[in-house]
Amino acid sequence: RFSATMVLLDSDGFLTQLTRMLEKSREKGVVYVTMKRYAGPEAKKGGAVDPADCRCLVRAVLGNGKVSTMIAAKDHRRFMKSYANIMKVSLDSLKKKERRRAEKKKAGVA
Amino acid sequence: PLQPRCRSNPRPPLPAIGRSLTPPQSPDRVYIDDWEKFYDESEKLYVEHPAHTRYTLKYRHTDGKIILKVTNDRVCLQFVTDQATDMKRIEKLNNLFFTYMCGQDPHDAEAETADGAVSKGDRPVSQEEAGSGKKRRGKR
Repeated sequence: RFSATMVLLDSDGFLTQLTRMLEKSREKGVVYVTMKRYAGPEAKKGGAVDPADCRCLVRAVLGNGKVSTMIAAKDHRRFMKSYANIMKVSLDSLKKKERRRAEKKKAGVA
Repeated sequence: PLQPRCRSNPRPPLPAIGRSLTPPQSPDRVYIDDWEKFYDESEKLYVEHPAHTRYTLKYRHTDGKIILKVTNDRVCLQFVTDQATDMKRIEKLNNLFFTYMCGQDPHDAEAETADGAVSKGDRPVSQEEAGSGKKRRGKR
C-alpha cells in the first residue's frame, strides 16, 4: 500500500500516512521515525547555515514504504503537537504502572 | 567503487565545532540506562554536529518497546524502554530535536513562550491580567 520510493508530503499528509503506518503495524511490522536537520542547498555545498533555511526532515518507514516531510520553523509547534498526539494514541503497547499497583495492593492488605 | 564501512574501514572523523567529543570508551553502539544521561548526551551530540546527527525512533507494537537512537554515524547513543511512563520524556526529546532541527534554539524559544504566554493567551483575559500592564488585544 505504501510506495517503496520516497514520497515527500506536506506536514498534514505526512501525519496522516504516519497514523496509517502505525495502525497497519499493530499486528506485524516495525515503524521507524527519523529526524534530521536539512540546512538548505547552500549549506549542503559547505556554505554558512542560515537558520531561516533550516528544515526538519522527518521520515517514517514501514517495511518498504517510506514517507517524509520537511518542517519549517513557523509550523513546527503545530506539527509537534499533532505528532505528540499521534504517538500518544498509537504507541500504546508499552507497560503501564503495574508495579506500583501491585505494591499498593500489598500495602493495603498488610 | 564504494568500500563498505566497518571496523577496518571506519568513516573519517567529522570536523569538530568547538570542543571535540570524548571518544566512547566502550564499543560503538551504547545503550544508555539513565534517561537524563541519554537526554544530555543526545543534545550534546546534536549541538556538536548538527549537520550529521539524526534521531530515530523505532516502534514495534507486538514487542511493546521503543528504541531511540541518536547518532552521527560515528558515535551512537541508544535508549530502550517498554514503560508507558517514558512517553512524556520521549515527547520532550522529540520537541527538543524538532526545535533544534528547524533552526531554532529550544532554550531561547522557552524563554520567549514564558513571556508570550502571559500577554497573548487563549484564555479570556481575567481582571488580574488586565491590570498587569502587558500589551492586550481586544476589548477591556
